[in-house]
Amino acid sequence: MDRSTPAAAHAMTIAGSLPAFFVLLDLMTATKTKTVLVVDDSATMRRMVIASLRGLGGGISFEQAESGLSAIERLSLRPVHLVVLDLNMPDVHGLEVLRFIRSHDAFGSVPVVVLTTRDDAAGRDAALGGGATLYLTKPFSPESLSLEIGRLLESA
Amino acid sequence: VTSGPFFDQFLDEYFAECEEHMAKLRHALLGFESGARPRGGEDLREVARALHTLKGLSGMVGYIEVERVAHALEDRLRSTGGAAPRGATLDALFRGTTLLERCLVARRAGDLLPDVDAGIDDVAAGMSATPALTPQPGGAAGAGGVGGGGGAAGGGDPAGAPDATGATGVAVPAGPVVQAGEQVLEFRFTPDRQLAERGVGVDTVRVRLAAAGHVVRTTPRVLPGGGVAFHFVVVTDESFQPPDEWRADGIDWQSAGGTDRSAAALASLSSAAASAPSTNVVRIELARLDELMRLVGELVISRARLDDTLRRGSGGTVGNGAAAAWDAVAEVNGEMERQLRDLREAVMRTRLVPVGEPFERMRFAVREVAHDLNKQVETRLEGAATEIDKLVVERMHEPLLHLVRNAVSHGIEPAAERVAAGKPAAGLVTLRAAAAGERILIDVEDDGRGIDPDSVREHARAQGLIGEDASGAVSLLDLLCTSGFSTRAGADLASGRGIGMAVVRSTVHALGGELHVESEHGRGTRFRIELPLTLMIVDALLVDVAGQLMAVPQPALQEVLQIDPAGITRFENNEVLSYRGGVLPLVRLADVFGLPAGPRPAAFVLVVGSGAQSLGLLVDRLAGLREIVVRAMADPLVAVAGIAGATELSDGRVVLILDTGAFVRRARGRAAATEYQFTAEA
Repeated sequence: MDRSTPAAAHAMTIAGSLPAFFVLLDLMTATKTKTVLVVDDSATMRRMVIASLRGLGGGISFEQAESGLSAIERLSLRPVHLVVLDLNMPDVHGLEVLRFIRSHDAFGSVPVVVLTTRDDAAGRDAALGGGATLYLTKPFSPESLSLEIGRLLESA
Repeated sequence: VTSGPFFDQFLDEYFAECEEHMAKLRHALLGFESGARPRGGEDLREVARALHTLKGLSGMVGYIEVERVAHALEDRLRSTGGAAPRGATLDALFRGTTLLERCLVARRAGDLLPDVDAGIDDVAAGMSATPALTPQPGGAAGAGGVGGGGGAAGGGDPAGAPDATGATGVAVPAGPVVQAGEQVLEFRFTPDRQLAERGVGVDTVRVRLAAAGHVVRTTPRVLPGGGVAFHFVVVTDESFQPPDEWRADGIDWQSAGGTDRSAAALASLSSAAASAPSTNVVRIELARLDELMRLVGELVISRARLDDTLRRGSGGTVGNGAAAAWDAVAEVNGEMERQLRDLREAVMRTRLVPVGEPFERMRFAVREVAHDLNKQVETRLEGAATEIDKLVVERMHEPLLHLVRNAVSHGIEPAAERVAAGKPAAGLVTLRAAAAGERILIDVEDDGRGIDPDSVREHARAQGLIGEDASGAVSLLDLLCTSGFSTRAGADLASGRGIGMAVVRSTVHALGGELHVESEHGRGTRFRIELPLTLMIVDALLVDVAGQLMAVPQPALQEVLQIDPAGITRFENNEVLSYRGGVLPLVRLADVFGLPAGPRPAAFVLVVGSGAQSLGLLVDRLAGLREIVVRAMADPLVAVAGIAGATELSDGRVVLILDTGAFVRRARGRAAATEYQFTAEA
């Protein structure tokens, strides 16, 4: 699993040398920026999603999780304003992540955008029935993804 | 819906990731075929996920045909209802995977795309109409139900919920299956920010546990305070004892089965911990490594310049007071040389990848060709851990594929013929890699019928590639590598679509390597590829040829002789030297490059090549040993036979690097074919 993309490795270096960095990050998060957590086991896909959302401006910081488990972990550690969630992942399926989020007050009502390759009625029903805020499919266009998610973030 | 041009920026990454998924796919299919499936549906899930991701990514970059083939494979895989694919289904998966690979190769090269419609029908052919899918959204981890809510309990209920989620719908065993000599351990990992800052998270913990045993179930639980903890159920070897350091990483554990804490168990502890694979893998563009290598190269040149300055200065120009300081600088310089060597080696090592994965692709190809031709062929991989330059691996892919396909289609006989000849019915293709100093050896060997040199000559004559009277004048390898040569009237499907031996040899040569063949009629054929470990920096001997400085890479040098020019004798049209009880043909480099002979007679001979193909290169003077940075002459207009590239010396002079292999090849071309070593009765 490609946990250490160059960006992640860099972030870890900063974190290691400057524990205060995270405190600062929290302050920023609380006041200005909104955090979007992109959950997908494909590193390329995560980068595609983030690149598509760059147009939303500098007020958003992106974080990545490459598995359902690390998504849950990440959600439990610091506030997240929106989750972009893939369904088909190795350890915990996206629907299970969704169910976990929705069944625990700790995570509250964070908007979850399910973004999956599947485009069938059953998948859509399961995701929306499970509490997904929005159900989108791959392949997506950067414009439409950015539009939809920008709209959700405004009201988040 | 797609936005191709926008996502084109991810194409490099896309191909790199596809390569990983294809490797998983090939590995799993070969595993299914060999029947070596120790733990249930894990491979099946992995394959399903690889295909699903391939499909999704391909859609994003607008490679619709890749998306469609992946989708067809996914459907076919699911048609087994959770069982390992076998028989016709497995064959269809193999064919589809090959098609997928061809699509990706074509896309990458910008070539014409293969027709996928027929292939997709072929993948689906004979598939039962309704896939009997077992819904299991949680995969391996789903079994305990996430969040206390409850996915379907493990084991899968055939009449359960509709398949809402698709690709990972594969049954998993309900509880841990424990065999003799195994134990069940329950781990609990509680993440926090401090751990996250240290890079310890649920994913790394999971990898750690997976290295220790078999992770049967992972369940997240919400803690009373609002935090989260993860529970893992792991089946490990009875002797496994989690290292105490794990507790500092937020990991707790208890035994759920019997634990044996014998001395032996403790002894195996360290090795188990050491073998845990690191998750800290970074994917780096090759171009960046090249840049790093180039910078190291420049550093090497700078240090050599410093070396020169120091040497000039030591000739008495330095006053007594400065002598001590001078010595200190010289000492640091010497230290730097060693450090630079280490650095150079470390950078070089970053470019190396184990040859195992490319070999596995060859195993896949063997299987495919053997299947097409209805032959029984086994593949043996040796030295799969041998590491080789990533660039070399990529360039050698097609040539190796060609050799492997040839081995199966031309080398290995049909079973009946083999049995009649007293051989086992199944043929054997061996792929072997080994490091030999600064060289890498790759063998493609078969135990088939061997190459009949007479029949090869006959074919070559019939195709007008050699004259009627050219018997014995051309080596077997030269014949095989003649462009247009084929032993089949019409190239067959299996090997006919290959690139041809001519391209195999020219690719090997372009990489600074050599191709050899040994064949024994009735016993088999071995192609040996000799490649440099790295292409960038080598130790070289500087020589003076008629006032011109040239560099000879040291790995190519067998020996350097100082000779008495009177000892050279003329034999027919060639000059030779008596050498180790035989004769050594000589080549005057000054003549070859059209340089006027120097004032002094050539006094040194560089022995290059090996064994019977040894050759002596006559030079005027030796000018020292240097570490040189090889810059290949990429421009074909500049390319000169016998020159491999150029390098810059510490004083800024540009020196040409000799391609000794070219001289050996040329000499061999002139020599009789009988000189070439193949053991057949030529």
